[in-house]
Amino acid sequence: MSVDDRLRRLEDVEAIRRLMLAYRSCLDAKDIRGYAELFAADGEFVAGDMHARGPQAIFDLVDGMRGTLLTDRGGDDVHIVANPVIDVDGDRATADSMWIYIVRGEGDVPVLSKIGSYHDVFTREDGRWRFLRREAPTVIPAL
Amino acid sequence: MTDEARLQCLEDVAEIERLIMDYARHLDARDLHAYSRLFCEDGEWSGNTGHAKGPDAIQAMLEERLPPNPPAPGPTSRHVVSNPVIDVDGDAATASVTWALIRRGGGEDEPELALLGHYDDVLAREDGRWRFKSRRAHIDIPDRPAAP
Repeated sequence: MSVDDRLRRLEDVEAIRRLMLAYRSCLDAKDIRGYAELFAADGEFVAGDMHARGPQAIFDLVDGMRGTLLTDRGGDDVHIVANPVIDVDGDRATADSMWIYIVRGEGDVPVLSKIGSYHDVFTREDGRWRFLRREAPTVIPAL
Repeated sequence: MTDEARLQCLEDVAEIERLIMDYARHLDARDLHAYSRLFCEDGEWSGNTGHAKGPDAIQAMLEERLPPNPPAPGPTSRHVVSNPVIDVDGDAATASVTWALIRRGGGEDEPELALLGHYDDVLAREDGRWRFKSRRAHIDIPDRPAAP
């Protein structure tokens, strides 16, 4: 591999790591519009029985989770992203990672609410990495 | 340092970080064959589960002593790995890593933080790939005597 290719690979892994973190920061800030724009034009989001394709459908689905699966207000819940494993192949990439979901509980204490995994496919679209598919199954509780 | 050496150092850190994440992933999936191949031919693992040297011996020890990790309604657990600090020196490296074990709570279908600890690692480049030369797994909370 040329020096240029090797640098590009490191840059791509870092850009994807940032995309995975932008996902959680938008979600936790309840910037659901910004969150939905992290998906490719035909990007898919899958969580359990829920499924949406494209930024508008993903916005509708996830905005509808406020007050139920997510807190309504930003700052009352946090996703921690851990154990990322990222593989880049040209303009496609895949990743596996874990999510740990913590909410502000009764008595204003942090509560470990759920954990799960992410299984991702990314695409480089207009020069930027986007989610082509994100599956976010819950591991505990079993639902 | 030459540009080549600087680039190589960044690649080495990225590859070792990947090795550390693969360890947790294969362990939680109980893919103990893939897990044991992350160790050097003479690589050692030591911790509360015991001590073993070489991929075959490490695999055999864990197959014998490690409980299964079934999905719900079983006692599912996951290792969360964080805070990696990696120092590379040519074909050798060291790392320290924090780990936490989250599992399904006793009787309750909810996650609980069960154990917290750290790993002390020595890494080596073997056949062009980074592997564990030794990994010592320490449990810090709850307070337990160090493994022999």
